[in-house]
Amino acid sequence: MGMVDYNRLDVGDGSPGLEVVFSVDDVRAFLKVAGDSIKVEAYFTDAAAAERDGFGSKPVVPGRMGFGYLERAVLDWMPEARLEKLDVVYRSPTFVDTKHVGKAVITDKVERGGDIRFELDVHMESEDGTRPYRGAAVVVIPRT
Amino acid sequence: MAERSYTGAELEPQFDRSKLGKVLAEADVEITDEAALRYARTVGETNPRFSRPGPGLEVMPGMLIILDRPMDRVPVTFPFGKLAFPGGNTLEAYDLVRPGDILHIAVRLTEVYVKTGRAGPMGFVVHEKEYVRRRDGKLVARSKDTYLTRP
Repeated sequence: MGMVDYNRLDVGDGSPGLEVVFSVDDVRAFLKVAGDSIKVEAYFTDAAAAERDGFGSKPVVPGRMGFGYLERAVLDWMPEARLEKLDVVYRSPTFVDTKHVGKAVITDKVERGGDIRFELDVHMESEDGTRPYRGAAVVVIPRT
Repeated sequence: MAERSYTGAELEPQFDRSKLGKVLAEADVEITDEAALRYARTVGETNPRFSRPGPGLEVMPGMLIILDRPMDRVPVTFPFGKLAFPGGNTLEAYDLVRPGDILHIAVRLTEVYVKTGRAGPMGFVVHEKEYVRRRDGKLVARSKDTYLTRP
């Protein structure tokens, strides 16, 4: 993990992008960790169920799992950041065995008392260029 | 094809309004090292802050939104509704959470409303949770969980 010069980051700068292809096994592992907090639908792991429920031919990735990856996309870019807020809207489903890229772009930067506070737009982008998850984040880089 | 129009009654959500804003359920959840590490692994996190066992280990804030256990939800029915699905999550984190922390989680139904656009009506049900650390009584996080219903 390389050092990031947060003083040089500014509005308009974007993260390199976190590429991910969710597998059914990844989804199963996440559902196990999530326990009872997520209603386990058959379409999360079963392609036939996804098709029957009108999602197409691939199982659906739980939204909260995508939320976790967007969090990671931010924290991989800014490893010292303290995440203050992450707000994600699930506009359409994401699917397993499909490449997605989690990205963040700085929309505001405020320096106060040595801390740097960034506001970010975040999104998950699919291979076809659509953005099934969109949202915003606030992170603070504490003064060291 | 003519767009289907909906009458006032069809747009009126059906639910127990006395529950709005009230605490529906509460639970104490202890965050273990194992759970924090397992969550980090499932989202592929390798940042040592979240993945290296030891006294400095931090809990990824996103983990909080899957801590709610089977807590009560107020059943809400929208007469026009056929499809229901998660619409989004919001997390506000006010302090670091570390393994060993016991969080008192309380869930409330905070909003139920309908918006109508070109695609027809959409019903929104929002539950909010507060996470208070038992050790010092500090509110460490708040989250929102939005569920959508469409015709």
